[in-house]
Amino acid sequence: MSKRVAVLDGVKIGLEIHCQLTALKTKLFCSCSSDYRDKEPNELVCPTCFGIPGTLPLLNERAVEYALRIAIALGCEVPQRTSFYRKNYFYPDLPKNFQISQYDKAGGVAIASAGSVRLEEKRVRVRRLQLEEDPGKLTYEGTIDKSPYSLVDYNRAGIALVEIVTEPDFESAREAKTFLEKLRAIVEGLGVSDGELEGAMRCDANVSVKGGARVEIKNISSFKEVEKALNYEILRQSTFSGTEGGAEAETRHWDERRSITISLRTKEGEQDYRYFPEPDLPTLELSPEFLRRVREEMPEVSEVKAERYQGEFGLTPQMAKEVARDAKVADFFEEVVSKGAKASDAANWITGEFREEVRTAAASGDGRLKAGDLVELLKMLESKEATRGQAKEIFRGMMTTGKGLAELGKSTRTGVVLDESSITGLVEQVLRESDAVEKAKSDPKAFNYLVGQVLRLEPKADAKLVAKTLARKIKR
Amino acid sequence: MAEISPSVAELVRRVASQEVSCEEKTIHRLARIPRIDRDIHAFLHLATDRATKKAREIDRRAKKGERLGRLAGVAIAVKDNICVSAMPATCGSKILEGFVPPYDATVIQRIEAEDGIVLGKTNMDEFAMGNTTQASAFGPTKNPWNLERVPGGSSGGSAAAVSAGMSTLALGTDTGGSVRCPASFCSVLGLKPTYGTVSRYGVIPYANSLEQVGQFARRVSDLALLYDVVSGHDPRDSTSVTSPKARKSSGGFKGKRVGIVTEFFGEGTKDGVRRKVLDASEKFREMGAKVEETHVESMEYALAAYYVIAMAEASSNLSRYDGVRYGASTEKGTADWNAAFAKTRTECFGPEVKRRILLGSYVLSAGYYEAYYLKAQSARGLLRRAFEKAFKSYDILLGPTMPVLPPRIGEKVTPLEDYMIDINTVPANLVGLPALSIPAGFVEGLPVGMQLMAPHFGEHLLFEAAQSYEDAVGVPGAKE
Amino acid sequence: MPPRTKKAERQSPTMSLESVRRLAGLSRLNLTASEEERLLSEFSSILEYFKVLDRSAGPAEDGPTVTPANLRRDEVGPSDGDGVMKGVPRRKGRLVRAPRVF
Repeated sequence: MSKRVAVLDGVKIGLEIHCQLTALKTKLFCSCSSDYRDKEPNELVCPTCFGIPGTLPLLNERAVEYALRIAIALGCEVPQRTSFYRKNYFYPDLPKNFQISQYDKAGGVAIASAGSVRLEEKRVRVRRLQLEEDPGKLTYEGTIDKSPYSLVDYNRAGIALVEIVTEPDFESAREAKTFLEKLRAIVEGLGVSDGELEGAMRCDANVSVKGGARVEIKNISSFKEVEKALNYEILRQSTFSGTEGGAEAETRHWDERRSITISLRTKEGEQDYRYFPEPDLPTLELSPEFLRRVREEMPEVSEVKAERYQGEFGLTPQMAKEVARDAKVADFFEEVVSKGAKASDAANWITGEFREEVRTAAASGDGRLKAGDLVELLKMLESKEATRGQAKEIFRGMMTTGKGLAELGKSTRTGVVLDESSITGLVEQVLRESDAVEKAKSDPKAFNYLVGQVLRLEPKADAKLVAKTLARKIKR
Repeated sequence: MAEISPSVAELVRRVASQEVSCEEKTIHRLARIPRIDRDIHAFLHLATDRATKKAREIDRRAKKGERLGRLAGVAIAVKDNICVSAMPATCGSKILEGFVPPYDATVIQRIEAEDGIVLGKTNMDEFAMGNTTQASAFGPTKNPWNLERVPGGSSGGSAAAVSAGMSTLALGTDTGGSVRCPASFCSVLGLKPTYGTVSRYGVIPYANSLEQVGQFARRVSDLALLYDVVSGHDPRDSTSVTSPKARKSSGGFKGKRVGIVTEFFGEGTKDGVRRKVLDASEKFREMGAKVEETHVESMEYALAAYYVIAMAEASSNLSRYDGVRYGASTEKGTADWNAAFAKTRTECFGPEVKRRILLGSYVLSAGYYEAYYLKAQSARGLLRRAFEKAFKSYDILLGPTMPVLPPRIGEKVTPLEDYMIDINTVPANLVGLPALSIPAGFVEGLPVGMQLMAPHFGEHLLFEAAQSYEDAVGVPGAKE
Repeated sequence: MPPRTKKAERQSPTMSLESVRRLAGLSRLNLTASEEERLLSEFSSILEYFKVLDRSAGPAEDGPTVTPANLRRDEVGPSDGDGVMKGVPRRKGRLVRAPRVF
């Protein structure tokens, strides 16, 4: 057992993720619709994506924008100029027998490089991002090895992909899987890809175990399979450890049905892709103005935001995630902090027992949530002008009544708490006079409105008590 | 020599005024072509129905007094690597037998929008790789001036069609001289425009970064008109540019600076050709131009750089021909994909195409990319700067289009010897410059062409020079 | 003439029969033994000629550039499945029939 652990210590995994930009309306280089799922075979093809001679690629502007969103979210460096390269290899699913892709060697510049993603306590380095086209899809009659021919559907050919390549920074299959889940949340949050769609996110991996060579694993069709495939491969390779030279460098194929990797019998270096600049596409200039526009228009993904809160405000990962989860709550948090509150205090109040109220109030967008008031309240707490209990009452009051701190603070501090029977009287009066009673049963806004009506009759009434009484009454 | 045919403008006037019936003229032409072409073999496909239908429509519109396009009723032959919907496009290769493009090239759309009549598709060296049109899978085209000689290539069919009077105008493509070489050998005008001025959409590529659609004509005004019709920015071609407004013609050629480039008269230049071109250049002096000898640096790299880049791009462009999606497929059994692809490609590509695919693969492969491809690209840079420098002192640079006279059909040469005769035409493609071959007379009864080069977007300078020359020596006749 | 640099003087590699075969494989072309021999000799003299480029040291060409504003908008246009499928040599229903991959 101790030997096994030692071997597992030397595990290095790198990932190569292919993420379709499913939010695009068209393919990467032609105007065919990208909505290819559940379509008749070869319905969404045109001379360009079918590789008919004489056609020319026309780069989709949105694809550039979306790839840059991912680049920015992953903290990548974006070059001033990027270019497309042809990757030459034959395969029946490849309409031109070359793929228009990018290259980061021999003068090529990919659309982004050198990013990173925080994974709990470590940072996973992202080597580069590339924009490229998806090949078509092969099917077989019967089984792949028995079928006398293959059948090709080119609907998928030309779909925009962003290839994300990490450094070999993962030390376990679990880490790799956690990263992929996080990456998926990021691209979904950015509004560029829907990982739910079949085949929208695919992954190749390279795995090495101490003492052995790097082994590529292809054809991992979903993230669910990644952990299984990697664990299998780590186990397989670790059985070589101690033997001469360890595992051999090769490419293997993940067989989902049998849950094993099988050798494709291709030696390293056998492939020679003969990359060279795509002569039909000029070098793309990414001006600072364009990047600024992309940055301004992109939503900040909660995962990325949470990382920022950890770095910028020193929040714990758990708390940062909690605050960042809802964009409006996060905005409120940032406003509170910018007005002078201590970030950890603000985060505690926002994500503590009032989490739901804050979320509801933030979502209502009716100005009930006043950042300045929370800042003041926190100061009152610190200067012992209010007790914790009082502060809580006030905060709750702010959110349920929409009243400001000045008013609520006064009533709270004077300590006037009306007895339940007089509140019941006021509640009944409002229920008699208002026509929003039915609505209040299901609509929290209407409910809060009724609470407000009671408080209008008696400003010193305890809002919490009013709400409780009202709830009891209308449910009857 | 036949009577000199009227200009395109005059032809269009006659059709528009209904002096002649476009349909009759077209039918007559289509009937005459096979008789002439039996000897020459310029056409691979005659678009009889499409041409007649278009002619009829033009007559109908002329009758109604509708405004007709600038090419109304004018016959235009199209090289077989330019896509015209519902017509074959073989590129002179067996591998594209049966292929019918489902779309029109931009140049074809523009010609038809001006009521030009696409007559048919013309013969060419397979995938435009050659300078003789002997490398066509469908047999060679012959030089109308001497049926034992090649017409030049790769657009030999188009040049021969114009030269023999079968077509008024023609389109070719010029990757390393493929319009200018046959223009020179067939005694017609042939223009290779500035890179990016004519859309490549619908042009089946040989080497994308080098090639442009070029035009053939016998009169300078006709050539300029055809260029004007087909050029202009096309959003379907990312390398297409909006050319700056041409400067107003100064009229005449007086005071223009013409440089006779010494490097264009290299050791392979035939004496007769040298003399003929120098004689022709004298005409410019007589017209009041300042003519002098000059040098262009870095020219020694041009041919090697051209072949490295062209072969590299070609090797990749020609990968798509595997028999799966279109064209010929010779594997009828159940061979695996590698064997099936190889069988079709081996049986359907000719020897020159294979040579360039293999060598193109070589210069791109790991370890050799830097040694060949990148060096060729830096040579291209050197050459660009050399021409920029030369055009600071000259409006026009001049030399023989081809260093030799049209070779005999079937003459045995090594591939390298064959490549060497492109030495004067390839620099324009590497640098993207416009260049024009104009007839400069005959040596031993065979045509000699003079190449004029201008700075980027300097087509107007070329037309101006050629027009002055034409005014002085007359319109070259057709060989019929 | 550009200055000769040490790097530029390095000889271009030469070709072998083995590389002709490797290229044929990469290009999916079958060659007979005599074709291999003939091509090797042709390639050798062509590559010998290409050595002139060893002296062409200089900065690589800066190609044309484009800005995102000039790219294609993400707007759906017509596809032409029927049009392109018409020319497919062998098909099975709406699928393109290709050789087997195993």
